[in-house]
Amino acid sequence: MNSLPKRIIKETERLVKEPAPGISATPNEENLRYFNVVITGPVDSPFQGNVSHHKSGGVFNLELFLTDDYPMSAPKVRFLTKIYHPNIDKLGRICLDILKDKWSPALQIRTVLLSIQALLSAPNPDDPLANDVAEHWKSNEKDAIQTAKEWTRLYAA
Amino acid sequence: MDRFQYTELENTVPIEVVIVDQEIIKELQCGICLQIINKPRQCKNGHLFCMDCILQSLKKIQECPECRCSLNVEKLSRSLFVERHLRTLSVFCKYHFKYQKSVGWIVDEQGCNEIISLENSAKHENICEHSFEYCKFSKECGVIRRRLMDAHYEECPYRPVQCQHCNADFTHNEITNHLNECDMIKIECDRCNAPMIKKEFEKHKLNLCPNYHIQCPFFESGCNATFDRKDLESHIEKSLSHHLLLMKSHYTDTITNLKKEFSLLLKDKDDKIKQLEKSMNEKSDSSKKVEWCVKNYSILKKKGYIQSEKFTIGGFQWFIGFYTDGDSNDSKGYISIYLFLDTNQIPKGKSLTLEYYLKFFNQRDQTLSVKKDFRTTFPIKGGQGWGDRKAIRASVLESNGFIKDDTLLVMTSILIKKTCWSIEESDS
Ligand SMILES: [Zn+2]
Ligand SMILES: [Zn+2]
Ligand SMILES: [Zn+2]
Ligand SMILES: [Zn+2]
Ligand SMILES: [Zn+2]
Ligand SMILES: [Zn+2]
Ligand SMILES: [Zn+2]
Repeated sequence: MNSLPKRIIKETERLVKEPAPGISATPNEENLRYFNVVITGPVDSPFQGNVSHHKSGGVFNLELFLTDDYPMSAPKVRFLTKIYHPNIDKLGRICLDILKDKWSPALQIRTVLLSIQALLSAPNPDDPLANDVAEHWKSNEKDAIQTAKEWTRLYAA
Repeated sequence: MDRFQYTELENTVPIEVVIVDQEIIKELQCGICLQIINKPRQCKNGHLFCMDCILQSLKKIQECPECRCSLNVEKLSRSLFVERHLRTLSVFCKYHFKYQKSVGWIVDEQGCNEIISLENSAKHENICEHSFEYCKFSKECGVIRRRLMDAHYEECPYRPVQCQHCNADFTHNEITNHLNECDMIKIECDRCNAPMIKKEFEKHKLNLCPNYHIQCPFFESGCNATFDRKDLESHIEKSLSHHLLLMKSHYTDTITNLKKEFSLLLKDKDDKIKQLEKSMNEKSDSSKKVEWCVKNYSILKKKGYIQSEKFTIGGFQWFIGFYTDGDSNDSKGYISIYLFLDTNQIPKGKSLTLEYYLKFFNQRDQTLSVKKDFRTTFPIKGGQGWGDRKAIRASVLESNGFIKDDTLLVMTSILIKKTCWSIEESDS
């Protein structure tokens, strides 16, 4: 493996030193381009943890990988924890424009993870990746949110 | 602006480290590589990037990575203000810092405190008194601050020195050893106090020093006296007759011994000559096989007598001859075969004793061959050849496989055992 670009070193240092609230990203010891990410479900979202009537919950594991082309190409991010969300499919793939055509090399790992966190606060069923979930969301939002909460309790504990 | 192309080498201090006002770094950072901008280029909204970084990004998508305004190579512009800002950025001399493993770059208390503009930093660092160089005498000394180099040269263990005795060149740490070994050092003889250089002492001691003990020069003749060299003359004077007597008996003994040795040597040589002669004779005991192929036998036999060509063995000429129907009445019906020596060739008085055989070779079955062995001395009295009058029946020879394709094979092998000379008194 070729030596790590300065940019990745800098980003990693800052992620560890000044983590964003509710987000942690830890590089893998053997492959410094691979990160173990943990995002806490945002407050007032169906993915929130530590709510009084739940003992715990809302802790989502993700993996993030920087390709050789980074930062000219977006990082590859995927949820490892099962999540009921119209923009995240069964395999944990995320429908987020900055991870695809709206990527810019001025964006960073931190901004990507913050955007994913924001996506949990504001699901967008009009731009779905998981069609059945999106349908559920659009036809009966209350019920869909209930399912999302249920899943959070079941899987994101 | 070479300063920006730094590598990962530890001796290259990163620009972020040397900038005096660390707050400024964020403002001058490229949004793509997150480092101080190198060759700044900007979009129409003033977003700055390194030229290399933005060119690489534009290959993928033709927009500003920060504001996403439409952008391409032609639309990129320089910023003279930022360029000047970068050039005149206040930085520490790189020798203000030192590298510490697992910590990184830290301030070197003994280092340079100069603050210069970025564009002048390389020039300063080239002449900075706090920079490091290798000792010119040896890489072993490692790098030394230029400021301290003169002091180091005064005491460098590898500095050159010359031996004051032999003028050879050494490094300072070798000279002590050398002085113990240098043979050009001045010394005094321990017996006579004569001054000399060390290299001549052995000679002095062996041949010259009056106070060194020596043996009487007549010790070979048996004088066992020893004395200081300066007393040699008086010993010779006083022992003249004694020495003469010793010499006389010494040389008598010597001559006797030499004679003995000489006769032993002679005997030894004699033996060697005899041995050589013997081995030469053995060599001349050469035997030689001859195979005579008698073709057209049926025609030749009508003549009654067939003779071979001459062949040479042991320096003499021989030939074989046989009578196809005997050579006399009582050998009629038999083959009579003889080996002949051309007697004319034998010098008078010489005789040859030889062993030989004559063989009729059976070409159908080798084991049925007829072989006759002989031992005799040539010349033969009253004849030239020696052989067997009734060697084989002519009828057997002609029928039992001896002749094939009208050809008969006769073989002989002659071994000369002895050569003798009998010498008669000369007439005169
Ligand atoms: Zn850059
Ligand atoms: Zn811009
Ligand atoms: Zn300096
Ligand atoms: Zn030195
Ligand atoms: Zn010397
Ligand atoms: Zn002496
Ligand atoms: Zn003597």
